[in-house]
Amino acid sequence: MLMVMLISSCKSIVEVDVPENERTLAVYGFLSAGEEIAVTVYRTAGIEEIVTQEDLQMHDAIVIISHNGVRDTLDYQSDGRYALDWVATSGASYQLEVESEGFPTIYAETTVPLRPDVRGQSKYVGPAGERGTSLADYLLELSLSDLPGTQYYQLVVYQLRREGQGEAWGAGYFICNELIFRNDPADVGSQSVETPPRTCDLVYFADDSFDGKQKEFALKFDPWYTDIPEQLKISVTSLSTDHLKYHQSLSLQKRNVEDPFSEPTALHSNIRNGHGVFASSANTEVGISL
Amino acid sequence: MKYIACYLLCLLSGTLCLAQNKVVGITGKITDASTSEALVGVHVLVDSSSSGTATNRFGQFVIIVRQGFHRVGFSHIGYEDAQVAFEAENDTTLFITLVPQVQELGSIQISEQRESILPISASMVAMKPEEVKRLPALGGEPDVIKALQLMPGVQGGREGAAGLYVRGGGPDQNLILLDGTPIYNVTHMIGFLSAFNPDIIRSVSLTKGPGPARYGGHLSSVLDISLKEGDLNKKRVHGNVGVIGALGTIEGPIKRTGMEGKMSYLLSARRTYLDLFFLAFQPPREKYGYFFTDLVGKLSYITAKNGVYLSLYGGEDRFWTRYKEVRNETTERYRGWLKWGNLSGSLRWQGQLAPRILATASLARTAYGLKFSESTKQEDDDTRDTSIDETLFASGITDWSLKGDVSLVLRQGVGVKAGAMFTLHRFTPSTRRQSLEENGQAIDDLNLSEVQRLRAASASIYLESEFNPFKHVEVAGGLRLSQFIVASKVYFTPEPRLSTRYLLSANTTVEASVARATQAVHLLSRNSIGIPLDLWLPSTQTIRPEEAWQYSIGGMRRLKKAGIQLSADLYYKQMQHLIMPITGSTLVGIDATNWEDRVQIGEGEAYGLELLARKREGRFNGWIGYTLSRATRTFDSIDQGRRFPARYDRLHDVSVTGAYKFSERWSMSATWVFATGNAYWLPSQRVPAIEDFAGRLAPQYFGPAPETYAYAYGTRNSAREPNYHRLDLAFQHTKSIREDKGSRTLTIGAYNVYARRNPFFLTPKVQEDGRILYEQFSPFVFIPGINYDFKF
Repeated sequence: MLMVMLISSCKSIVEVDVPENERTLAVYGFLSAGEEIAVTVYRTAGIEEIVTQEDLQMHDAIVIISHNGVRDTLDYQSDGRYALDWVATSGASYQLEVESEGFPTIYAETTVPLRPDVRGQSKYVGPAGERGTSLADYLLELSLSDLPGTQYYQLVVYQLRREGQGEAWGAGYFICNELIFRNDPADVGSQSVETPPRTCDLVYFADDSFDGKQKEFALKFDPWYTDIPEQLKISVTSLSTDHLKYHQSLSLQKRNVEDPFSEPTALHSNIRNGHGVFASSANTEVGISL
Repeated sequence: MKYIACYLLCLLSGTLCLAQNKVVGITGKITDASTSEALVGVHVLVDSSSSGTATNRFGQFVIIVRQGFHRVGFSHIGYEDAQVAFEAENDTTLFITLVPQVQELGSIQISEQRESILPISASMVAMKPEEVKRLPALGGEPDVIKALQLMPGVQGGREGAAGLYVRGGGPDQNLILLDGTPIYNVTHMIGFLSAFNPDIIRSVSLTKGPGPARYGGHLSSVLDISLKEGDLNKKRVHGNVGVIGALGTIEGPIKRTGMEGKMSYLLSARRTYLDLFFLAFQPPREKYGYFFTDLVGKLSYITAKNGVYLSLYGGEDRFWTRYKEVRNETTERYRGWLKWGNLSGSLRWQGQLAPRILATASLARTAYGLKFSESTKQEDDDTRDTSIDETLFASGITDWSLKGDVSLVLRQGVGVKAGAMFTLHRFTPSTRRQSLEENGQAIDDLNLSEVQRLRAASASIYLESEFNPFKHVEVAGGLRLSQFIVASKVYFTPEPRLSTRYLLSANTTVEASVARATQAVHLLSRNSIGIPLDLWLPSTQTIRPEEAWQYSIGGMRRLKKAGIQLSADLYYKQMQHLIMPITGSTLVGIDATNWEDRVQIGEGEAYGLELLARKREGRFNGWIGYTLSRATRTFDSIDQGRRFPARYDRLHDVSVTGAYKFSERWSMSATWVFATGNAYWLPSQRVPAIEDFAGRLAPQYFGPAPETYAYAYGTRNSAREPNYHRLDLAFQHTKSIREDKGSRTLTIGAYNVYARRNPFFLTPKVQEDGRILYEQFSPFVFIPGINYDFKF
């Protein structure tokens, strides 16, 4: 108690001489193959500036997308969001340019990845006599055809839940030991790292070990105890490198920002002269009945 | 390879050409007259020349003189000078005993301590344990490392820590030798205290750089600490009681009839006892505590020409907790502990092979380890069914090394030293095990990470030479050839070392040096407090050994009348293949298979000017040190490869220390330090935290909460903590018992007496609206200390 009092008495809020950086635009554009292009534009705020996110939304920016030498300006919709009726295409590159008075013009580029070629089926693995109950375990056998070159993937297994009179898809847990991206444990969503086998509800992984090959996965699915599983939806998404790095850094930063004993995490950005990210993805979903 | 051969040839030819005939060797050993302990660093001067030699760690020296009449003088701080004059016709061996200076005080007469010649180099700091004990100390605990931090070019990192950051290097870049054995972790209490208590130390020397060729494996400095030998004449007991802990030492002769030489022992133990105090205030079902222990032992066997020494050191920090909880008719008992520490030992022989040849050989083992254990036992109060869930984690490094050195003196001032060393390293970066037992039967026993042991070996040979090519010019050159073998990869590195000194006069010298060093054992450390989750790891196929070149020029001048030494040293250091954890990485889950993916590789640069004015003689002594320096790093993966300040880059660093002896009994000391605030990497702007789930239904746990923010950091380490300064004071009262029967010393002091709130660390605190305010933690605000020391 004496130590706690001693330590508590030594804390104080102080002003720190942090070099004030120039205010810039913070632009978020997540292109998804087969969907319309949309970008949200904010400005950055000072660390101690009292503002809301609404205050940071930019309503008068000029947002231009270029593709194969064709430029078009996005229309402002609301809440800092700008959209265009172009549909993002796998394999295509898009350049982004955003201007707003008083801010440096920002530039960014992304290439939309190809949709992953994935197939899957389930297999009941016991215990005996519990099929169709919440105690049942299923093996999800997946086959992923990987393209040459480094590819990043996101995998989520959704479970159809019946809640009252309605239905909802929610992330289910699966054993993800095999898929942990070896660079950092932080790129899985919610997971248990203390006790094996490691379970996840979202995982990012790279094709380090199967670059350009057919990869067979077998994930053990662990249904919620309160639900009787009927249908699953396996979502595998190819991600651009910036998409992965941005989310990795955001996840780590949330965890570390108030921890004085952790290495600070810089937020990844591919926006020249600004912040945010211009990234892309392509998704494939496989429905599985249990 | 041909350059190496040329370099060696130059060294040898320079040495051999200067060796002359018609000379004789004078070998000797110098000991303390009261304890018979060998004295290290005694200056030996021939015919009152301005240069001479100094005794080695065994108190030995060799000088070569022309045949004829010579006067040989011996001088050492704290001892009366001695001189012998004789006709040197043949090789001669001298046994000299120096008498400790008696500080007779009549009224207020204090005999003056005198230092006769200049130190060997401005880049080298020597410190006697008595000097350390005179300084004010945190919690009244005198500390060698913290005393060295007050020297120019050396800093301790964050507030209160006992780390060593030398000339822009990292804390792992120091070769720390305890009786010749490397020690990997030298701190206790997560860095507040070092393992080295001055009561058991005979000598301390810090070389700010790779040092002579006999030292290797580390880039920044060599800290060479010699343990005391037990008293060969008389049994002595020494105790020290402070606020934090207590120390007890016993030493004395071991007498056996028929034994050719003399034998002595020294045994010292230290333990903190704050945990015992706090235990009394804890509830019976929940207990926790922290303590550390040090245990040092040394056996010495000394004959006229040989010595055999067995040194042991063990130090451990331990944090433990346990609780008992009863709920739903189940009793749960939890026990957990985290411990870390060193265990090292060495067996050394030193001897005189021939009149001009001294040799040493040693076998040493050193280990540093960290272990964490927790177990939860649940017992059903009705059925007595039990389940025990246990987790173990271990990490560490163990070295076995074999070493031999031979030194030969050809004539006065001309000597050659050569040696070889072989070390086997065993790294255990991470071992995790979990077991579950029910009613005494094992249910599960899992190796969460396989016991991964990496093995590596390092081998090195070196040749050093000292000679005087011209009058007043001294040259010390050497070459170390190092090999580090890991898996199938072999790293071979030549490490040349060269220094030269020009004696402008008996009191003034200028010097220059250049040295290359490599380091193949790395500390993967979080950039923060020294929690011992740091991992020691070897270089690999892709992670090369770190390398450094250091250049320095400097000079020293002795103001003879004032008894003050002035020194200035200008240095430039370039470091390559430095490693740093990747941004945002944690060390959790790191192991031997994946650590290469968690680090980034870059370069470093450090340069600075060090000024020192030091008075070691007389009633008043102390020093003023000033460092003007820069330390930077460049990593391709950080800030687009732009240079950024190292974490402990400090432009200005000032330390002023002084000790004044009022009378035989009363003395006081003060230390004032000032330093530019440490570099910090803090958020500079905030942006809305936007997450994307690739257009798909977001997992319900990952939907972005409204009004969440992410933080953009500016240039790495571009923010600065406030400037650091503090004043420490200590008063000492000493009562000596006549006829060398002991003494009692009471020290009362305070750390940071004017209660400056220096930051220990800063924590960004995210407010509900996303703003960030900074909270500063300043635990070292006026810390009083008391220490009672007794000897009999």
